[in-house]
Amino acid sequence: MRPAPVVTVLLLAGLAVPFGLEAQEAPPRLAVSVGPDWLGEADVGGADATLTGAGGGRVDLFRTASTVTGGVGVGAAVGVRVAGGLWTELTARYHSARLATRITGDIEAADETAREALQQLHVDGGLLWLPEKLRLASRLQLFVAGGAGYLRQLHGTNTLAETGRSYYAGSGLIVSLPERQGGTFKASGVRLELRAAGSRGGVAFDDRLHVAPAIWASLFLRF
Amino acid sequence: MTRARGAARRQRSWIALTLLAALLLADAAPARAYLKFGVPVNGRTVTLKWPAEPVRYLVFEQGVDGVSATEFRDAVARAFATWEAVPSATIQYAYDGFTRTSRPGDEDFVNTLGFDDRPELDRVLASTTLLLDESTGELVESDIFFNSAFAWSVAAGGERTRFDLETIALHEIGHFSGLGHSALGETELTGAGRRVTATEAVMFPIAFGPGNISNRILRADDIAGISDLYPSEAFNDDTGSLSGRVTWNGQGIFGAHVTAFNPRTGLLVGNFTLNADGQFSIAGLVPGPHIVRVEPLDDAEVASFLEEDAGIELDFRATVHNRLIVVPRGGDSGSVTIRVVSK
Repeated sequence: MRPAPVVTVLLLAGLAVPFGLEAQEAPPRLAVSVGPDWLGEADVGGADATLTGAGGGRVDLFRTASTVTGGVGVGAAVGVRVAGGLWTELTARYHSARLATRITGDIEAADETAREALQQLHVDGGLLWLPEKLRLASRLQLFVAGGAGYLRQLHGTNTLAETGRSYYAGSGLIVSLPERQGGTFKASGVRLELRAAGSRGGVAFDDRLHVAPAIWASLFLRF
Repeated sequence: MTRARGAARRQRSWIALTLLAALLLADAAPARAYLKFGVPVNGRTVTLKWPAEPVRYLVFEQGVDGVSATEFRDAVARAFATWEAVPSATIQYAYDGFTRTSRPGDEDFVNTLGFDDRPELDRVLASTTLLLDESTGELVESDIFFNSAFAWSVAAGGERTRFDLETIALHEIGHFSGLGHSALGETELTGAGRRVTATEAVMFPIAFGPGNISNRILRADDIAGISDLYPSEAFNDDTGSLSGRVTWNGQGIFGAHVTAFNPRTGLLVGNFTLNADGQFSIAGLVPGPHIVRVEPLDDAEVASFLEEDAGIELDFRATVHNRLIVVPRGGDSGSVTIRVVSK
């Protein structure tokens, strides 16, 4: 029977440390970010129009080159702190995008660009890492981020949706605003992120990975 | 919509259409399309096709230099099998044996394929005759003759100085099944006429030269055409269509070639505007965005494709539409209007 009080005391001591910290200064565990997201142009491949030649080879009718441009959309993320400066994030980004195919080299017709509107949604799960060694000042913090997820693109006529995979990797700067005491949130600020936004599938005309530049500026609140 | 080269003959309630295919050195259009036949029945246009399958046929028991009757039978059987193998079409054929009484061209309600010596048709490799019921528009007989005035081959790899029988049979069986000529090809002028330099349809009206066997394989345009005529359930569910009008100064134009190109698959399928309103419809397309291109039959013998005196418009400029047109799965794009301008 003697060991029991000793064990109980040790357990209470162990629990007392985090409980005591939480009561004094618990770090934020949840973050919400919303802001405009610019998605640049990505080459999405595409075949040329060819015929079978008399000698068995291919003969060009015309050539094509296609791109998807996201333009300015909106992005939102919900993050949960995992440990220290490491967060997991669920991100959704929406763009009213444009698919454009440049047609050149036609024997008879003039060069032309054929366009189509797209509604484009990326939903990604990823990691956000804010290491202390990348803190530039008390309120300036560099970070890196990366993730992967789901891409859905709805053609402008709303008659056909195409899906694919989404990837991103980037880095940026977090500018924290002065902390509030006793408010509904513990921290707030601005997050600027430059990333490489990759996709495979969707409206792309081949199966390769296609990468576009992207910039996200968001306001965040941490709870 | 009905295309007949040569006179259409009326005989009681039957109409015979003679289709001269694989014309050598004849004019042709650098255009692209598959084409079904339409026949007027009681004031409406009915698509010409076989009412029941399998479609039975006989082989006229006669060989020529280099090709025995048995080799002929086997070569046409391979060509029939190629059409039957299209997964999105239901057409089936059945070989009923040799005949020595029913000759190609005889109007005897028996479908016969065989050689015939027609040296006066010095540009015709082969020809298909269709006999249809005028009251229903249904096919009742089809015969194919292969002109033995030319040198033929059934060699697996072709022979340099002989025309490949299987290749030409594949084209003629397309007519036999109800398909017209496709304009999906390019030609060049030579001293003796036009020579085909490239095609992307077995149903293009001009054959490659002797020894060429590249058109033993059906292309997207051929597959869309036969599937449109004899569609499987999967064809209707898995593919879509693109339809619309071609206008010039606000008026529809007849006989324009309209091509749909899918940049994902690289497949070309087309059709023609087939009425005065300039309306067209292209079926059998893989869902997704398509580039649409319109061009006139401005350097061709239009009778290879459409009625020559039907008011075919030729003086407009080839045009690529400035919108990508989305073809949905199992549906239609919705009407697209493509405006063309004068040359």
